[in-house]
Amino acid sequence: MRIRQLRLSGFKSFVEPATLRIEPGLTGVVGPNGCGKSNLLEAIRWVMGENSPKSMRSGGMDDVIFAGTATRPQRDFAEVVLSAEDGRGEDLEITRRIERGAGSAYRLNGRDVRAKDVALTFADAATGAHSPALVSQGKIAQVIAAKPAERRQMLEEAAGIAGLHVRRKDAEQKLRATEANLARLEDLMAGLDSQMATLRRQAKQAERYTRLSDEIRVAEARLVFARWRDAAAAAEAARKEAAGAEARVEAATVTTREAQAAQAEAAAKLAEARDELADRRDDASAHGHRMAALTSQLEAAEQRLADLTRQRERLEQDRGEADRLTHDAAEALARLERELAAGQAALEADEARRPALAAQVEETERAGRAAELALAKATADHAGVEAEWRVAQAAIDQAQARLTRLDGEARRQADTRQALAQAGDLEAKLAQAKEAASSATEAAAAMRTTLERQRSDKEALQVRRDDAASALAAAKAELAGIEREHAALKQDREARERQAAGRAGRRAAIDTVRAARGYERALAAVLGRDAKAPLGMAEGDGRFWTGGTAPQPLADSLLRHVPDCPPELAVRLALVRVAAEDYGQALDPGQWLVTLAGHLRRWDGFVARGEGAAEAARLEADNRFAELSAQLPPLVTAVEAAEQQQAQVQSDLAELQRALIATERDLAGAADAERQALRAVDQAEAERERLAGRLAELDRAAQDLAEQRGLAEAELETAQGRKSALPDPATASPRLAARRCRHLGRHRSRHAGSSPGPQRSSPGGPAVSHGWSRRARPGTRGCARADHGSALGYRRMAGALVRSGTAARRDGAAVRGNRAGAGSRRGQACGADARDRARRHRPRPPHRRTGSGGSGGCRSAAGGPAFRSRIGRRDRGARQCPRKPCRPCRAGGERRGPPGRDGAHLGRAVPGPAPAAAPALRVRGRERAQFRR
Amino acid sequence: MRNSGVESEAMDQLVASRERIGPVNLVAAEELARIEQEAGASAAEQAELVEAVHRLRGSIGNLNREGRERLRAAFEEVNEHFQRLFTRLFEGGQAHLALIDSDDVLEAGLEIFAQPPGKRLQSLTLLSGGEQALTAIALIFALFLTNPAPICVLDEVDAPLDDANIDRFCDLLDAMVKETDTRYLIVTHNAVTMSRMHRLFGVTMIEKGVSRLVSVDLGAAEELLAAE
Repeated sequence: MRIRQLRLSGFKSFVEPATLRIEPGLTGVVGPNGCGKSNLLEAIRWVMGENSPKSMRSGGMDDVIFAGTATRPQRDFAEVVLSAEDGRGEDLEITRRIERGAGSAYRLNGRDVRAKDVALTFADAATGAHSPALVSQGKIAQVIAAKPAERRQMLEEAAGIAGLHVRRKDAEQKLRATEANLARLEDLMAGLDSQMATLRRQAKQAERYTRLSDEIRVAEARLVFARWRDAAAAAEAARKEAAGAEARVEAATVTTREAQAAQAEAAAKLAEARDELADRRDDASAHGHRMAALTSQLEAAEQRLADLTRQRERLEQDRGEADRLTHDAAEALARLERELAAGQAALEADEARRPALAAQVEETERAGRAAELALAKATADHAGVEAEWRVAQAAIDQAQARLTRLDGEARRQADTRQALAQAGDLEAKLAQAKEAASSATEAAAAMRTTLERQRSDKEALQVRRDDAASALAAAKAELAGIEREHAALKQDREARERQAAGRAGRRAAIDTVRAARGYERALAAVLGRDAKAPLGMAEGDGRFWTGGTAPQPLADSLLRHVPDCPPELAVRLALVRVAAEDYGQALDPGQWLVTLAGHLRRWDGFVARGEGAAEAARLEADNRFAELSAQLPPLVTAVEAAEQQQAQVQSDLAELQRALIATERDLAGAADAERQALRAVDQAEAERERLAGRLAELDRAAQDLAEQRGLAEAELETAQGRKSALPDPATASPRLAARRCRHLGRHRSRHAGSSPGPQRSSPGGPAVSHGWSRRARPGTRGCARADHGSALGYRRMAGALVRSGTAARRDGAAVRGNRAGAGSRRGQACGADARDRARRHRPRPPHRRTGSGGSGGCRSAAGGPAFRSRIGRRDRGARQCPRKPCRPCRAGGERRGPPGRDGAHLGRAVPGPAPAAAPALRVRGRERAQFRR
Repeated sequence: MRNSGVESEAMDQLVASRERIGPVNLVAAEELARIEQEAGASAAEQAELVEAVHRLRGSIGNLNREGRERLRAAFEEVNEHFQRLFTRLFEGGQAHLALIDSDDVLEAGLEIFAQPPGKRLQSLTLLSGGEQALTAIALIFALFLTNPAPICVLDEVDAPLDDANIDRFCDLLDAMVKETDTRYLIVTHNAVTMSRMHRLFGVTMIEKGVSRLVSVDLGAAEELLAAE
């Protein structure tokens, strides 16, 4: 880049546009102080991008704009243009313009560019606002006074790395920020980790919770289902029960219907009975009427008699007056007197008859009353007897039933006992079990003994095995040591032999000689260096053992300790004495003394010590080799033997182990068997105890039974005694019936007798009706207790009564009707009401009320064939059906209607003694009678 | 099929074991998933950050390395120029630059060791004002020579110099003009310096506060003078 000119306008003091041409070479700028020379330099820097107002010697960037003087106004903008030519010869025009309050802008060749671009452009040309080449005033002093670090910045500018620091600082800042972020992130992550751990735990928990919840849902469903099932079963049971109940209702309905039918029938029969009763009452009142009529006739006759008497007196007064009349009168009188006589006779007869009749009536009534009383008493007695008899019979039956039951019980017990006795082989079983247990125990003990023995055997064997193993190991170790040594020695020996072979078969002396053990050193010392000399004569130089004449060896000669000695050496050794120690023994000429340690002394005073060590070693090695060779085979054998033994012991041990395991297994089996046997014993004993308990129980039960049986028998006997003490009601009943018949027959015959006479029959009515009500009472009582059996008797009796006449029939009906004697409160109330009415209308017969429950029997439904009387038929409809009360029957039918309804109510009501019902009916009857009258 | 009693018992047991668990965070799994996602995102971010840290460290290292290299090179060159210029300006003597205070070039300070002719090597502050100015000029030119700029402005640099030194300074300027392509703008009051300029511009302030630039063509003036 070549800078050509600088143009400024409004920049600092250069208010007028000024152009500074910058030519190659040195361009001087001169002028007085303070006229703005430095502003040129500042303009250059400014256009190059200087942004620090301080280095522009101004407070703010706007201060570079001409600020005005006393005579000139300030400018609104400043502009500096630097014209240059770049490296390629192209023109560059860089403009920086600043407007007051609007900041500065750069243009490069007229284009708006950024400050950075401008800076880059200059930087490319190695210059810029901070270039060291722009040396402002004071820069020199600055360089001198600056700290070394500040000076380095100049160097950096020169090196073009001024931005480096900034960039590095930026990078460092960024790095610090990033690291801080990283640290924060790590903190965050640590937090997250702990949170995750917590959450993981919680999630696991939640999962478990959910799983449990699911299970609970299932369990709930199952529970509901189970409950539903139970409910369904219950519903089913209830349905079944309902069906059963319905069936029962059905049956009950049928029974009710039957009962209703029976009741209707009974009501009909009751109506009949009532009709009959009314008829009887009517009859009784008819008798009364007749008697009244007779009495009035009697009075009329007496009146007539009085009239006739008065007539006669008048006639006697008139006799004087008229004779004709007298005659007539006499005739008439006579006739009248006849008539009077006849009438008087008749009257007298009547009068005579009247007391007799009255007496007869009285008497008859008395007799009837007595008979009635007797009959009632007999009936009561009979009923009492029968009741007692029945009680007794029942007691007997009960006692017998109890006896039977007890006998059955006893039989059952006997059976049980027998059954238990049959289980008697329990003892045998127990014994067997015990035996089994003891044998099992013995077997187990035997097994245990065997096991113990085997274990001790095993231990012994183990000891033996260990011994054998250690012996084997020792033997092997010894063998190995010896073998090693032997091998080493053998190798040496072979090497030596090879050497010897190399020496053309000439054997050295030492190879041929062998010293006894312990004498090797001595021999070696004696032989000395000569030991390696070969035996026999040879050509050439050297040392040779050629042999010689051996003197007689000394007593303690070394020769004696050299078993294998070639004759060549024997000569040397013959005169060598050997001793344990050299203590200066005297030596004859030619004699040598050698100690076992190899110290040699010759007769001539020559002494050699510590020589021949190699030879000695070799001799020792030979000896050792021989020894080892001898030792080796037996050792090998011993090792083999030890191995064999160990193998034997091992196999024994294995076998024993197998046996041991088998024994243990057997023992376990035996223990098991023992346990089982003991359990069997326990079971058998328990069974036996249970049996014994059961037997004891049975015994107790049998005893109880016997006692009970005794009691029952006593009871039976008592009952039978009581019963036998009682007269048989069956025999008494006909008698009673006969008696009743008799009584009734008498009664009826009396009525029958009195009825033809109008006067005689009249007083019998009330007596008869009274007798009925009285008689009904014992009948009621008897019938209330009667059962079917006695009913049969009654029926028979009733049949007899039918045959014996209507009166008897009526009585039978009354008696039978009482069987269903029942009443209710309503009936009572009704009865009381009726009673009151009866009292009001007719207070006369209070004594009739004592016959309580008497004619209530009229309501009876169980009618025999005899009961269908003509009277019953008459107003049955009115009684039977309250809905048809208006049927014209006998007088008072409309009044009988409501009581009939009452009767129907009574019939349906709870059965039981109803003393008030009877008076009501009775009163009704009375009313009817009264009404008729 | 079990009856309702057993079922009820089983259910009671289950309910009891559920109750034993105590309070339960039922949304734990969802929260866990969310937080795991978050953690994953954080881990990714962390990885990114770590990478960014490495990158930044690397770039800082690069910057430092480059800066060191370039600074070191610049230093060597500047030092060379400085020694030459110093000797030339002082016509003898020795001087050199040194990086001190730190082994790191980037942190080190630049010290000037100057030994004007006939003097001991001494601290810069002990030199006379002229010597200081010359030394500084030598340094500035050394720096300038290291990275030659198209323009060099020297604002009253020659003020503390005596005439002899002015001559040497001007000689140096001449030499520099020859060596480089740089155009020099020299503000001076010194007549000697002015006389060595190729051309002059005068700045006047006829009107108070308003500068005017007046061109003085010395060549033309000389010709004018010569013509006279």
